[in-house]
Amino acid sequence: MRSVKSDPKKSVGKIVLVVDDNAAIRKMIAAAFLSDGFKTCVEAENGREGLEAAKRIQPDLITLDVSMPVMNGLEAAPRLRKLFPKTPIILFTMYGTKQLENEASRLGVSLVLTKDIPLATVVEEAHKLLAPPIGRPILEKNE
Amino acid sequence: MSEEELKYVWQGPLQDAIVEFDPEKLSQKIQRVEAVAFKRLQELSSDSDHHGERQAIADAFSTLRVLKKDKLSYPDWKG
Repeated sequence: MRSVKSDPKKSVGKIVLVVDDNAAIRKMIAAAFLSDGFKTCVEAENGREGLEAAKRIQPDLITLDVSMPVMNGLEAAPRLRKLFPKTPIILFTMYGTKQLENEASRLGVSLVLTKDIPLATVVEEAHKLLAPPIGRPILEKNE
Repeated sequence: MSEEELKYVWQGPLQDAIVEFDPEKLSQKIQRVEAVAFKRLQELSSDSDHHGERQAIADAFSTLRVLKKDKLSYPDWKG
């Protein structure tokens, strides 16, 4: 598990947790977030490690792979949702079936994106999920 | 599939993974396939062509899912 910091652009001070068992893919995802305003990207290589990291860092946003050892993304999602009721969770996967989307939604995932989508689009979707609703006051996360 | 029949850059690493029986080496080889295929998908993401390769990558990931479940005991899921 490692943490990298960059200068904020848009999502000032936002922390993203990237959970994916493939180190090379994690690094590409992390680079995309850090190059577009996120302050910190913490990486975890399976769902269990992701849960431990999330408890420690209180992320503003979480991206989850589905296929991982020890605890996969669909096992981790409801546990993360219980811990962080308002934190956006993006399931970022190669396996984007309708059945998976429905199951993910039931388990508390905010958005399912497939890995053939440009990383820039993933980050844009993350910004949208983190943007406060127009006309409403900004609430503290998970309160 | 012979070397001459490999159409896409990620197919060589996939073939290496399919014939690997050592779990540790298999895990490393699967990671390699996934990384190369993901990078290729990102390259293709701004191009509306290459439907054949996109489908081939989707099929490859289905194969990897089975390998990970059956040979590396990854937890599986519905869907």
